[in-house]
Amino acid sequence: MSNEMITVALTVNGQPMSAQAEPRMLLADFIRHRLRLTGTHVGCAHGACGACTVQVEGEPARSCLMFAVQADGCAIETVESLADDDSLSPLQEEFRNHHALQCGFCTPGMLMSAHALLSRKRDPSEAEIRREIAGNLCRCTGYNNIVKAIQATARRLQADPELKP
Amino acid sequence: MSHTKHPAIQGRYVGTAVPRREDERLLRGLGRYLDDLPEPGGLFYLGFLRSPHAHARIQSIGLDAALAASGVHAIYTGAMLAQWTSPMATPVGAQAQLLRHNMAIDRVRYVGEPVAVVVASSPYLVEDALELIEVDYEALPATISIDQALQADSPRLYDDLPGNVVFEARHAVPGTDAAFEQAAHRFSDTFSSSRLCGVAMETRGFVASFDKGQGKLTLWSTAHLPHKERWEVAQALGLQEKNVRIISPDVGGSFGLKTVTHPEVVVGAAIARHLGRPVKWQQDRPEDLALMHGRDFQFHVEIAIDDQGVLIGVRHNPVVNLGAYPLWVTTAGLDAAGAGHHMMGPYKVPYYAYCARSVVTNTAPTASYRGVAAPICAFAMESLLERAADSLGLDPIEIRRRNLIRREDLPYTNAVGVTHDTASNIECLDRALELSSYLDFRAQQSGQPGEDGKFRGMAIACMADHTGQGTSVTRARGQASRWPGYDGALVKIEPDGKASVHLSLASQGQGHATVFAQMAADQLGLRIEDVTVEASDTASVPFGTGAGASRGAVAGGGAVIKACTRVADKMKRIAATLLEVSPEDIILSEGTASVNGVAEMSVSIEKIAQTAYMIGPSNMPQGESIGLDAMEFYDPPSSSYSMACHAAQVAVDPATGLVTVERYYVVHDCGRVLNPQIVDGQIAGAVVQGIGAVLMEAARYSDEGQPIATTLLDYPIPTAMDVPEIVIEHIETPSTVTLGGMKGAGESGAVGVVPALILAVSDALSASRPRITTMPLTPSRMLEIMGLDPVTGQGLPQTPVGVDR
Repeated sequence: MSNEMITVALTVNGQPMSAQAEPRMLLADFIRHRLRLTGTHVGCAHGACGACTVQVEGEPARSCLMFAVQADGCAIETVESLADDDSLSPLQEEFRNHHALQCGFCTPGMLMSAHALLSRKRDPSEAEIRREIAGNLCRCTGYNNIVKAIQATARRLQADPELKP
Repeated sequence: MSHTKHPAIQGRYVGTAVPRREDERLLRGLGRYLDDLPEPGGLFYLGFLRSPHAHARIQSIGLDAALAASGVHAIYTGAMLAQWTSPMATPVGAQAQLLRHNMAIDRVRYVGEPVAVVVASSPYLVEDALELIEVDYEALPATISIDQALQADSPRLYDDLPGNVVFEARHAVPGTDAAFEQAAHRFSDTFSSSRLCGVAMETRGFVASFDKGQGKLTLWSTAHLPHKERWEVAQALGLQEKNVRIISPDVGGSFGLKTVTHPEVVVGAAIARHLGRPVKWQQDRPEDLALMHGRDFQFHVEIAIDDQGVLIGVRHNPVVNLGAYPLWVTTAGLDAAGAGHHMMGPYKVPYYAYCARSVVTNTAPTASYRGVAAPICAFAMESLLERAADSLGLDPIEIRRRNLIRREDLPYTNAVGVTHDTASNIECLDRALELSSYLDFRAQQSGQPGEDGKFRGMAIACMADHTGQGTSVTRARGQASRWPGYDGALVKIEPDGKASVHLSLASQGQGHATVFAQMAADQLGLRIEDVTVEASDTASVPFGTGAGASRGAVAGGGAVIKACTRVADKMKRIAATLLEVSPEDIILSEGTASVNGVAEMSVSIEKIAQTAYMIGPSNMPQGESIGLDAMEFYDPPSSSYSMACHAAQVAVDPATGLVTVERYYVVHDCGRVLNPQIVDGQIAGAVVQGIGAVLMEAARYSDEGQPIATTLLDYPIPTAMDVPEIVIEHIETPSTVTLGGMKGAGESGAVGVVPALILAVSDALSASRPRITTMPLTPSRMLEIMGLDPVTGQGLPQTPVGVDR
């Protein structure tokens, strides 16, 4: 097994970044420890819990199931991309309004999955919402407040076609 | 329902759904969980080599290949750690102690027990080195299940003890056996919970750093009870407590299981001291699933009933599987004695007796998981009462009505000496029936196939949860050592008039930063934006017990009320002097102290603070001390019972055995509700954990003691697709004994859900009247219950039922 360090250069949340990684370094660990973006969490490291969900080239991906070197040259988005300096995104606001987080550990991955859904479909049904986040495990909330938060965001998107989730 | 406001706490914030203060940074990804913390320079990473055998002697450990691996700084074994640490000791009966070495020295007693620890420069290199360690084991016969452990000839874990029963507690109201002999009817069965994994989304971990010059240890730790962990680590390392500091990062859930000080923390602290370098360890998910277990119970319960369905007595023999070592705070007895303490629930039980036991087995040590013994106590009582109703031709609701503690019965002191001072059991039941349309459903749909071919059922479960215990109860239950029962709050107003609150309770996601800020803001007359609840740090928060056993709102809230009362009184005295009125005339609100009824006569709290710190233009009033802070402790004088009625509707697919939860209702009384969104969140989250426990979760062991579920694919927990709408309503009957009127709310969702779901499944299958006494009710288990072979779909021979007379 080669342990040589490889330079991984990618676009993260719209910014070009690069850092060194050995070939077997997980993308999740690269984001967290090389790029110091610790919002993305590792809950299982075997692709089951969804806490590590990011966007790679516009699609949700489990960053614990990718190697950092696979993301070389890619555009990735993490939870840090959702808010701007002054305000939270509508989705994040509705998570707070609806008490959709308790310990907060699953929350970044949950936000990334929900954001991907709402970016693709602005009026999902409840069944579609539940299916889309079925790959994001939460042990604290029991999920219903998360579903309500996503539904409330969808209503805001319906009311304002220019609004981004 | 009535919403009575307790005079001690009412204001702008308490009782309202204030959005959580901690949410913004968590939503932005700016949380600071253990693995997010900036890492100290020179940090080493730890990894543990763990026993692959349930029971074995260690013959030899070969470290050479691993020591030569890239990035490895050191590798230590149990023998080396024993030179630097004391073993953890748990009393066993009056005479004996069980010693747990922080890493196994010559014998391992469960799969996963630490045998060696690698210290290396990256977590990836740690894993490489672990694979190169060679350990030679001689496997020993193992005892795995409760039934095995109860047999006198089962392989013994501890040669010094006569067997594998390490705890026994008996209690009997005189005359109980005679009452049972004479009773018209008796119903009994053995109710079991499958062992469960907690599956907090964040696993355990720590960073340990030792300052050799000062002899001080700093731990950043996911510990649920920081003061307890501080004591245990100090004792294990021979340090004075003042020289151990535990700083709490954000913690991603615990559900009771992070209350244990596991040996890895002691090992890590010892290595940090030995090397003079900081070390870090984060448990991985397979370790978590193999090691963080709870609720491995088998309760044999018998009820005696008269011809009217009124309870005469309850007798039971609960057995708890501790795993290989009893753990603090659980000890050998907490869960088992807890069953003894909680079995009666919300019912009047004149005659009562139990013999509670705990056994050790060659499985992972278990800790108290959310609800402790109460979920299975409620499971047993609700099941037996329904059987009694069925046998006597009584309505299942009516038999509850005849036995629930009512307001007219108060105060009701139960057979273990705990007094119920509130009882809205009947009111919760009535409202749950109404909300869920239970009676109509039972009449029309119970056990009937729907148009989709599924069989549907409903059940209700009445429960009371023992919450908010103080020192009097912890002592009576034998738990007092370093888990005293009170909690403390230090409330400080800074010279600029803003407040910080320092609590002896750490948070794992329950919303402390919001709930206690609400209380403090109301009492101090500040805007909530100007009050911060600080994270736990043993260097700056008062000593106390910590969150758990549904006591945060009660004990922490009481301490906040007392401390804020003192600070507020001082602010009023200073304001009164500045405004030349009497302190009784002062109202604190919105950052201002003003004269009641004369709003123009006011002074800002900032100015009061400047006066108190003697940095403003005004003089301090005579006789006042400098500053504006107070530290107070609250020891709840008794426990308080929260109560609830749960109602559940399920659908059973006869072709696949899949159970779906379709409707769920909870009518809940936790006294004064501080933040309804947060309380509802606790109840709903606990109910969903129960859906997991009843329908899908089991931490099983093979016959040889190998844990079977070590990934989240083998151990499924509920997803968003498994959860129906959960309707929650509150009845607020403030406690008459707690300061503020709060009762606990963190666990009761976990208690009622087990009987509600299992009895709903029985109702769905009521054509065959199955008596379900175990879980999980996975599809293949359901097919067996329905008398079908899970593989062939053919009918199975009849299975025997429980003992009745």
